[in-house]
Parts: sequence; C-alpha cells; structure tokens
Amino acid sequence: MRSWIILVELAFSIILLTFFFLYTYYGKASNYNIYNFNPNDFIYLNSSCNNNLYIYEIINLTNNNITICYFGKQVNSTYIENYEPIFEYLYAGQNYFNPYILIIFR
Amino acid sequence: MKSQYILLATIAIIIILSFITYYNLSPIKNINPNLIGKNFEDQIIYIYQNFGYNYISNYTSYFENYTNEINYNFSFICISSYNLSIPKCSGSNINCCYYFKGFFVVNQSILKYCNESFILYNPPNWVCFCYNVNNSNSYYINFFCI
Repeated sequence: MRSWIILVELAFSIILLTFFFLYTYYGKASNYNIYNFNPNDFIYLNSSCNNNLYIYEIINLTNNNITICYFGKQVNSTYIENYEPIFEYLYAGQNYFNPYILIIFR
Repeated sequence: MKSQYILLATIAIIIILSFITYYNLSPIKNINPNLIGKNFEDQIIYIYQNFGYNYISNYTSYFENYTNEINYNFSFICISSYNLSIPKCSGSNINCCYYFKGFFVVNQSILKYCNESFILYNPPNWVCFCYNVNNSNSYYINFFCI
C-alpha cells in the first residue's frame, strides 16, 4: 500500500515538473520573443529616463556611464535584480555619434 | 519507516530538479546571431547616412568588443572606395566573397556580386561588408552594401 502511495506521489510530481518546464520554456519566453521588437521603436530611449513605459539600462560606451531607468525614474541596479533582459542592442547614437548599449528588462 | 525515507528522497530530488530546470532556462533566448548581425548592418547604414563614413571604423571596434563580452564570435571584412581606416578593409581588391566560401549554406542572392572565382565585382556602391556572427549553437552570415 505504501509503495503505491510513493508511486502516485512520484507520478504527480513528475507531471507538475513537466508543466513547470513547459511553462518556463514556452509560455514565459515566447511571450517576449525577440522578434516582437523593432529596434527603431527604442531609439528614442535615452539616459534622461523620460519614458515611463519601460525598464531599461543604458551603457554609454564613450564614458562607460551606466543609467538604469525604472518606468521613468532613475534607480540603482537593485531595482532590476528580479527582472530579466528581453532585448539588447548596440546603437550608434541619436543626434551625434555616441555609441551605447540598450538593454530592456521585463 | 523505510518508505518515509524514500518519500523524503523523492521530494528532495524533485526540488533539486526544479532548481536545475529553472536556472538552466532563465537565460532566455533574448539574443541570437541573427539579431546581432542585423544590429551591425542597421547601425552601419545609420552611421553612414547620418554621421558620415569616418565614424564606421570607431563603431566596428565597439561592436567587436561588445560581441566578445556576450560570448559571440564576430568577424567581418569590407571593401570601400573611402578610406575607412580599418585594417581589414584596406585595399580596393578585397576578396569579399571568398569569405563565404567555407559556408556552404549561403543564400545565393548574397553571392550575386561574386564571380566564379569568388571575387566581388561591380557591387552597387563601394562600401560593402561581409560579416559572420556565431556562437556554439548557431551562426548568421550576410553581405550588404550601402
């Protein structure tokens, strides 16, 4: 009898794990698939944090300054620890040559 | 008593497995060779159109460092009528198409400016890049002219 309970428990756990795996692999990742993003939509995001729709990080390669913007507010890196990067791009600059890396989190 | 141990062991194994699954999957495919290649191509075109060709060399060195940091191999050669100050692009007779010769799965439209001995001829303009992005899983190669 006890061995039956263990077997049922094992089977249930495996089913749970399978669903968890499928959710992580397909559900979460494909919702934020990279092909949904157009780099031109993000060219106006800059280090003044004037966009309150996104959580993003800008690494200015000229002076190595890192700016993290959290829905329009400049914050430190602890704010984004639980978010994952969904888009990354190396822009050449906006009005003049000033290369920077943009990383968008969700 | 014995079966309780087995039960505990089963639960422990499942918890460990869950952690392994979670941490292995969390670096999602937010970046790939295709996107990196397009990033390079789009920005080189943008620089040429908005800032002038003398910034191209600067951008390519930033781009090479960036791709190294994210563990991708990135290489390119180019041919140009301007002096771009890039050692890989010096000379006006660079064998650009030869760059693709090792890759047998190349879209034929890329090779439309190559002759039978894989030498680039009569491209639309004289700023043309051949590039190759790869990591351990996949690769992306392409050719563009501005």
